[in-house]
Amino acid sequence: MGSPHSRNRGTVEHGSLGVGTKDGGAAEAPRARILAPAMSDFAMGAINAALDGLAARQRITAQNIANADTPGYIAGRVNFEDSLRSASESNDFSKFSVTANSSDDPVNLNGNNVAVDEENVSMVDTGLRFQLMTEAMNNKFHILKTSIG
Amino acid sequence: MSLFPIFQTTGSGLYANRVWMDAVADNLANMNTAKPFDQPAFQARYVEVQSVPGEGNDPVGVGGGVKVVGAQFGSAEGQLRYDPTNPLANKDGLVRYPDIDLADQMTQLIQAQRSYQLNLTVIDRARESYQQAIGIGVK
Amino acid sequence: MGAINAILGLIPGAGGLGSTGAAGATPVAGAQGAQGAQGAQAADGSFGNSITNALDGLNATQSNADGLAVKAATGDLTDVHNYTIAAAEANLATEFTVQLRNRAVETFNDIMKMQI
Repeated sequence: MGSPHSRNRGTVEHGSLGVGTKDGGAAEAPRARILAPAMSDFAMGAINAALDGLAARQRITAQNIANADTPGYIAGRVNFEDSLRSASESNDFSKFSVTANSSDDPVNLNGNNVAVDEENVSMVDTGLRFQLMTEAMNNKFHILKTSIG
Repeated sequence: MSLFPIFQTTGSGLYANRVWMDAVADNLANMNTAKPFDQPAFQARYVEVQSVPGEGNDPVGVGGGVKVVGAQFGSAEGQLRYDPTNPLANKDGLVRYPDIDLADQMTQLIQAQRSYQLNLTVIDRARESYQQAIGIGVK
Repeated sequence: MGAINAILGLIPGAGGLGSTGAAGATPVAGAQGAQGAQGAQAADGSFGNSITNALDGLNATQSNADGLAVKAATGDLTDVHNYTIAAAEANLATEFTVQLRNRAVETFNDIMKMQI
């Protein structure tokens, strides 16, 4: 309560986290893949992209929870699944992007629309998916390491 | 279909029970809201929910949780009380009070709170199970 | 002996390492105990062929796990354990194939060092 920022619903910035921009909904620039192409394959690209998206979602969720009582704050949502799906269909991860949007859930009396319980559920879900993706990446590297001998 | 569909199910349960608690809180807050004789009384709000059918390819037909579809309202007639000093009273000294039973509302509050906690427990257990599934084959 | 056939079962093309009598196969079988009679014969019985089949199968196992990993990444996977089990299979199959290769090379070296 009484936090000085984000008093008006129009000024919510989800861009401060590096996902999306001020007007919400714009995509961030596609990231360069960190893995050297010779070592990484298609699945590793997808896993890497998913980790990017999930990390962004965790940051947005954390920001939403932090602003659960900020008057006028509109919750942010991260989407990367659609982009990842089309990127993996066309086998081109350079087009992959993580987008941040403002939630269109109904606002309560102080103009805030964060539902802390739903954000917490999202945190658990995203955390588990992150765990699964790190495990998948570990598996890929383990197979590579084993094959090298 | 998502990777961990149970979180959508329990999330919908959390939401429905939170709405229920909100409704009870509103009913309790307005327990003593008087209205003039010629206006309807404050009507207690009862949340109406429906089960969500599961997604097509589920062999057991497990549903997808619960959905808040609307509200039903208590009596608009309320209770007439004789309270001539109330500024809202008519010439016979009658004021309209809502017809809300405190014991009933408190029972509902406990029910809503318990089912909310129940859904949280389900999330905890589901997370443990999923974590073990993720750990399959980890050295 | 059951273990080896179980692992070979993970690698579709490989079948089991039967008592083919091929030079390379013997040390592997010997290392893990005698092969059971139910061990299926590799296609034409030669060790090279069974290795090729094993590699093809390994590839299939790995791409199965990869496909499920991509589905998990996009959130379209419905059962997590399907992926984790496939990944564990791919890991095991890879380790097994690498062991097989190492033993084969070892055996080849042993034969080359043999006094004639």
